[in-house]
Formats: sequence, C-alpha cells, structure tokens
Amino acid sequence: MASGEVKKWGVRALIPVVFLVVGGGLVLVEIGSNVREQLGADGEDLDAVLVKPPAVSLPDSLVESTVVDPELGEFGVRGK
Amino acid sequence: MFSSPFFWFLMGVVFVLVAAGARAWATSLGLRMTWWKWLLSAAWYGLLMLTVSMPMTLVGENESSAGMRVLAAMGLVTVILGVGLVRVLVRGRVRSA
Amino acid sequence: MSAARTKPRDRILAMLAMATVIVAWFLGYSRHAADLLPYLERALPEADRFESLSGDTWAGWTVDSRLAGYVQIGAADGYGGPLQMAVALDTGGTVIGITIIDQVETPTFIGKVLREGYPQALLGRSVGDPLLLGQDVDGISGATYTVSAMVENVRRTSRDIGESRLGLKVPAPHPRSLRFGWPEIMLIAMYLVGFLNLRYAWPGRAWLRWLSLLMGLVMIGFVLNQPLTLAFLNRLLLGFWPAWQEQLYWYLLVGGLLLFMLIDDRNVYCDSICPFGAAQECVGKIGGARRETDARVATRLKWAHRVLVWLAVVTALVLRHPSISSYEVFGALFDFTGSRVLFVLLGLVLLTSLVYRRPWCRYLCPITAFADLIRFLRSWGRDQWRRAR
Repeated sequence: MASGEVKKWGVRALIPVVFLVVGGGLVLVEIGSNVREQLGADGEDLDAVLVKPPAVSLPDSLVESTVVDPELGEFGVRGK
Repeated sequence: MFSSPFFWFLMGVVFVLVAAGARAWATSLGLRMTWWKWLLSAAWYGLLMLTVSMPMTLVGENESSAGMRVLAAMGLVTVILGVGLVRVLVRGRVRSA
Repeated sequence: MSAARTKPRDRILAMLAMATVIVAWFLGYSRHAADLLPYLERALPEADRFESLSGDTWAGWTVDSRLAGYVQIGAADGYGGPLQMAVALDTGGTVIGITIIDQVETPTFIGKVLREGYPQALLGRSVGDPLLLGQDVDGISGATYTVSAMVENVRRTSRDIGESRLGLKVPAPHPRSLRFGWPEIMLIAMYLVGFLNLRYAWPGRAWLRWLSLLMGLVMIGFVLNQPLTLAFLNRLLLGFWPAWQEQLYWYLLVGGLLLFMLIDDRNVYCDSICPFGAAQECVGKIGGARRETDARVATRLKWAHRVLVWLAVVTALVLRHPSISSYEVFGALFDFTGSRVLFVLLGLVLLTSLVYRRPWCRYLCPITAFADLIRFLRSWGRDQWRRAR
C-alpha cells in the first residue's frame, strides 16, 4: 500500500499521539532521574566511591618476618 | 500432583482438545492451512508456553525480579511473532458469505 | 498554513533554539570547579596534610611529618567526555588509592563499571606495569571507553609521579596508536554504499538497502553496540572532543551523517545504517506497519519532538554532562543494559513499530531532530545564497 492520507482524526491517527505522549513522558522521567542521580539527591553518590586500599591481613607467622618499611609507616607492610 | 499419572493424562486430553479446537477454529475462520502453517502455529504455541512457564518457574524459585524481566522480554517477542503469525495465516483466507 | 507563513516562523524558532543552546553552554561553563581537597583526602587517607608540588600533584604528609605518598589529578577521555581521577602512589611506586573526581559517563554504564570492580582492580599496580587494556588489564564488555579512561589515568599519573618524584625507571610512553580496523572500514563502506544507493535508482535498490540495514543491526547494534547517540553530539557541543586516533569511529559516524546531509541533503545514516531503525523496520515488516501521515497531526507532533530533544540538549549543556540526558533505548535492546524506564520505552517502541513505521525515528529520536535542523539550515543558507547571487 502506498503512503496515503489517514482518515481525519481516525483511531489510527491517534497512534502517534499516544506514542509521543507516553514515550515523551517516559523520556522526561528518565532524564529527570538521571539529573537527580547526578546532583546527588538520591541513589549512589558516585563521587563518594572511596577506593580504600585493601586491608593487608597476614597470618601471624608471616607478620613477624615482614619488614615494616619506615618510610611507609604502619601502612607499609609489604606482603610480597 | 505433577507426579500423578492421572494429571498427565488430563494434560494430554487438554492438548488434544487444543489441537482439535485449533483445527475447527481455522476451518471456521476460512484459513487455508498448510503443513508449514501448522508447524509455525505449533512453534508459536510452544513459545507461548515457554513464555509463561519460564518466568513462573523463576517466581516459584523466589527469583521474582528475574521472572518478571524474562516475562517482559519473552512476552514482547511472543506478541511480535504472534502478530506476524496472524498475518501469515490470514493471507488468502476464504471469507464466509 | 502555507509555506510562506511557516518559513519565517520556523526560522525564528530555529534561531531561538540555537540561541538558547549557546546560553545553556555558557551557563554550564560558568559553574566553578569543585574544591579538590576532599578528593585528595579520599585518595590518600593516611595523609594529614597535603603540600602542592605543581598544578596537579601533591605530596601527602602524616602528622609526624612522614611522607605518606603522592597524589596526582588527571583526566582521560571516557565515553561521554573527560573522566577526572585522583591517583595516589606510595613512595615505592605502588598505586594505593584512586578516587573519581568528575565523570560524564552514561549513569547505567558507570554503574556497571563500578559494580565490576573498577577502579579498585587497578590498586596495587606499580609504576613498571604496562597497564594496557587487553594486556594486563581486563576490559568490560560494553564499557570499553570508560575502563580505558580509568586505566589511562592511572598509567599516566603513576608514571609521571614515578619518574619525576620517585626517580624510578618507567616504561616508555605508550604511543597513541591509530585505531583503524574493521569497524571503521565497515562504516565507511556502509556510508558510501548507502549514499550511492539513495542517489541512484537501480533495480536492486531496495534489496541493497535492506542488506545495509541488517548489517547495521547486527554489526553496529549487537556486535559493537555503538550507534550514534545524543551523548556524542552533546560531547561535541561541549567541546569534549576525543582524540581522533583512538575514537576515529565516532568521527566517522558523525562526519558521515553531516557530510552527506550538507552536500546532498540525504540522511544516509538514518535511512540505511541505523541499527535501531533497522530493528523497527524488521518489526514493521512482521506486523505490516504502514507509512502514513496526517499532515496536521504530523506537524504538531514534530514540534513536540523537537522541544523534547532541545530540552535534552540544554540539560546536558547546563550540567556539562553529555550523557545525562541520554534517553535512547539502544543499550536496552543491544546490550540488555538500561533502567526500567528504558525497557518499558523499548517495549512501547517495538509494539508501536508493528503498526506504525519507525515511530521512534519520527517522534522521539534526537538524531532525526538534529538532522532536521541541519536540513533546515542548509535550505535556508541555500536560499540566502541564491538571493545574493
């Protein structure tokens, strides 16, 4: 069927209207939630990703033989 | 219930009724059914069964979130393919006077 | 309404739209940079005070004046734009702390990267490590650019600190290699074939167009998951232009769209390449979708579509975040990644595609609206040129 004129305000003409209203609404909801998340109102605050070094826990026997690097202080326990 | 032979006997009866009913329905709608159209219809029916059983199994296993997602995804595919199937079946049908 | 009456109105609206976009850009630009101290403290919590050594490098000292380590702030190109991180090293040259300061990645994808253990996976690396994706660092499918930016940040900052502050021997800098492989070649071929197919009528035209669309659907959609999105256009508007050697694919994608629209007023991308357009057409073929227009409905809806896209662009420019207003459903279809809202929207688009040809393209797609604007400006420019001659 070639492209043709739709019956004036027929049911079929409502399909794009409903699509745009519902789809547009969903789009606005999505943008709104992304903006809220970015501004930190709710959800994960990505800037607060605190990447702490993993706690170095060695078996007791190994701790005694490990050299504590004076430069690194108490943090400078090298497991390797 | 599901290990009962009587239950499965009843299920078999139901499926025979579905198949016979489908045949009667196709005739009443004037559809020109061929072997490959029956095959397609059976395949779609199988997909519909899967679409219901997989999510429900997941829900039964306390994975309701996964179940709903599978239902949404498979449901969408089933609907789209169902529309396509209807178009294929309806093509060239004999309209009743 | 006649063309004579709508043309001036359309021109005024187009000018207004562009003017507001420029204002939004300046508004976003004027928002001042964050205070960096909290990020330094997060990256190197052992330090009690920080001494600035250069514009972007600090030494961290403990309360008893021991050197805890060094922190440097750097940025690398992610998917949406610069990804800024603070990287801390100990005096042995080992990475001991990383924190993200600023990023403009698509929220769903940065969430995926964080859940997959980045950037924590880069802790414990040392100055001498290659730190190359695919070599000693694993990538994450669908988030390559984001992970690549994190790795590049750590590599650059660790080597800079290692060499300039710790006096360590560092590997030679990784040269910026030109990324030109099958995706780029395929894209160029698809654009050329699509353009020639649109321009010249020949018996196999429809068949070739379908072949091109299916190729776009499979390769650009499912395999690469890199269709043209609003995020990339926002990125260009914001000035976050990625290195062309590493992201040539994106330049080809946008460049191809603009080139053929400007020289011949043909939107080759949307017609013959777009994977989501192809998906809609496939569903349309199954459902018997028809192309039909009620002119009055179509005109009004067109403007609603343009306002929606304008709002998305302005939001991104004010917040200086290219992907913040990304609402495309491509990730949901091609990578099963996206918010619940996007999955619902995807369902709506595909179901509507059964009966209506390409509804997303006609009423929601930001690329179509952008192409309409290009077409309009081109026509206006051509009218002015003819009048001047």
